[in-house]
Amino acid sequence: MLVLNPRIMEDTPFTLIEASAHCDGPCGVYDPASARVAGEAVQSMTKKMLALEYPQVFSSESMASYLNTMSRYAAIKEEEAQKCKKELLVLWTDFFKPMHLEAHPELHDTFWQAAKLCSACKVEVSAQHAQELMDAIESIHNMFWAVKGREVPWIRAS
Amino acid sequence: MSEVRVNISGDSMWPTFPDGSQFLLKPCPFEELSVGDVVLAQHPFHSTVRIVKRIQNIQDQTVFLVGDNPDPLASEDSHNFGTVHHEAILGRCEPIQE
Repeated sequence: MLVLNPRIMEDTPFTLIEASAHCDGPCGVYDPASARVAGEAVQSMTKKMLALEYPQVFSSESMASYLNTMSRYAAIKEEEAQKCKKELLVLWTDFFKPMHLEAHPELHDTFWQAAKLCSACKVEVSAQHAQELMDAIESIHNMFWAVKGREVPWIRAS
Repeated sequence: MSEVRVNISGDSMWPTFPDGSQFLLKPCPFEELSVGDVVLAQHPFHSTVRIVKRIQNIQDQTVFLVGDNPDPLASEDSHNFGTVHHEAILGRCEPIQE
């Protein structure tokens, strides 16, 4: 009963057995890609809002169309920024563990700034903050895959 | 019988015992186990999995096992699967003296 499926080590005078000290929950299903897609949507909507031109001809119809389009951009930006923040918080609080701070001491500040940028992108129409959010997500992408021991290139959908 | 060592795979015992740490496995009567001992135990729900945890409490014939990692998501232990019966304890993990 003491030794189950022992692995006999060659050239060593002892028997080695493996014991699990793993975490609870599905550790393998996390991926910063979901935050990245949401962040890209925020940046895309921000750019569209800044590029949308005011109607040249003032009329009820043109104003309705303009406001409808702008409202839809704003609604999507708001929704995706909130989604991005949620995805980041899940990574921050569930995936990353205290021992990861040893290799990535900037981890907490990066996530805090990224979450703040999600809020800023909701409040504002700022191309600068949308880009800074993407930069923060890229940093998180790099930390995440470094922790997983894999080289996964940063790729954008847009 | 040759010496038996236990290799820890995972981070639930971090920071005291990081991933890859090794212990000597010593057979130990249940009566001699104490709160604070690190033990190898049979997982109550997975017959092929053995786990390394620390005894937090002993009551009657059962023990409450916990990981050392302060993150609540970092250890699957008695918080998840409840207390384990004394027969599931395979031995006490002790430092390797070299």
